[in-house]
Amino acid sequence: MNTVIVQAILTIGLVLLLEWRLIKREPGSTRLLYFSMLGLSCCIWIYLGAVATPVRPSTWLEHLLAPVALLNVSGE
Amino acid sequence: MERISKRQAMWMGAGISFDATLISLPAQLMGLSRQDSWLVYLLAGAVVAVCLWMLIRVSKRFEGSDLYEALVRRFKVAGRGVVLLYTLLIFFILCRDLRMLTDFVNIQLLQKTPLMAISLLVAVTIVFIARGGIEMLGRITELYLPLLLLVVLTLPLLTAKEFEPRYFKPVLDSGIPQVLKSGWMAFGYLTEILILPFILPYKIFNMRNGLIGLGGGVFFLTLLIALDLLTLGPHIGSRFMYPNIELIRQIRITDFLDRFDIAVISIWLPSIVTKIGYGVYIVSHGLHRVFPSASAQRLTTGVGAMAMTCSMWFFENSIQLLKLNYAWPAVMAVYGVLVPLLLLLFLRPRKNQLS
Repeated sequence: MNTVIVQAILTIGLVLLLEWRLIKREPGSTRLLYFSMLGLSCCIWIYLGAVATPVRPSTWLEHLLAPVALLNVSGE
Repeated sequence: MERISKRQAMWMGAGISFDATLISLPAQLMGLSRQDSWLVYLLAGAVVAVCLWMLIRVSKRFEGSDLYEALVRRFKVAGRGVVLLYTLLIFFILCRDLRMLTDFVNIQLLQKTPLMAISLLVAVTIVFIARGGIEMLGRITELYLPLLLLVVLTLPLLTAKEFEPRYFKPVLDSGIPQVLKSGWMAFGYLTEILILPFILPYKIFNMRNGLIGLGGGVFFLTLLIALDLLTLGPHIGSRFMYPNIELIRQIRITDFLDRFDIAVISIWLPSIVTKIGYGVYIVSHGLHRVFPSASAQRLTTGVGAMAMTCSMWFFENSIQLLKLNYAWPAVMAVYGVLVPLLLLLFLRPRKNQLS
């Protein structure tokens, strides 16, 4: 768990360090989107390391699409 | 403004249809339609050509601009909504392709390297490619895709001694419904070419270029699956994770070249990485259309980081990626048929814009 947090923070920190000079010149909307995406990535990375069986969006999508899927996945 | 040539746009169309489809679908298609699998891409390609015609008709109405721009200019709010929907779709495809490539590299090349490390390396590469813009993507595609297609063209010569024509028979024994079901699965992947009119204006990506790109992709996919059938047969071929790699492993020119697959993979990898790079570029470009003051070039790093972590989050393993292929065409039917139809009916320039 701790290793994952360190990995995620180090990677995202390194990205920020390398890009900081370019990002600080950008308008507020770019910076907001940029930091939101990096922050969200960091959170997802930590979540994946912290939870044994994370909720997977594709599993949910599969269940959602099951009635319209032409093939019975479980039967294939 | 960044520009690419019509020829580069055509190569991009072929790359989008070909690069990812060749590792994700063949085994499942052979499992479903057995010896008739070679028909599948042709059927799906014909349907996608009709969808492409609809979008290019719409694109023709706004000759100087791409469909993202046309949507945002014509309908301020609803247009941005449609752009955001397509951006989310491309983001999902980007995550799927990135995970597929990561799994492939992990299974075939770097078994002991953690998935996250492989994914990180690919993500850094695609961010740098996408940051170069559409020109960079066009140039890399023009460099590597013809080389890859040339290698695919030589495969019939190199594998000829392994051919077993009896694997093609009996024709249509699996039944037309099975072929149609396989075609439905292939449709889910070939439809990805429909994103190009959203980022390229009509004068660069017209019907002729679109059809040549799609036709090229379909031709080479059909050639590969026909070779899989001829050398591996439908029963063994459908049990492999990557039948095309097994096909290449059948090639034995000399003892020196007994790992010919490594040479082919080294040509295919830049092509698939570029295809994933299109995804990062299109998502950043879409975000820029929705939030006009945001810089598309700067957003590529954030999009790349999100794609890297979401590719690990969305899919548990490579089996889940394959399972999703059965349901995925339903999503692509909405984005590839329904939305283009609505755009064909309702997206027209204002009368004062026409004059």
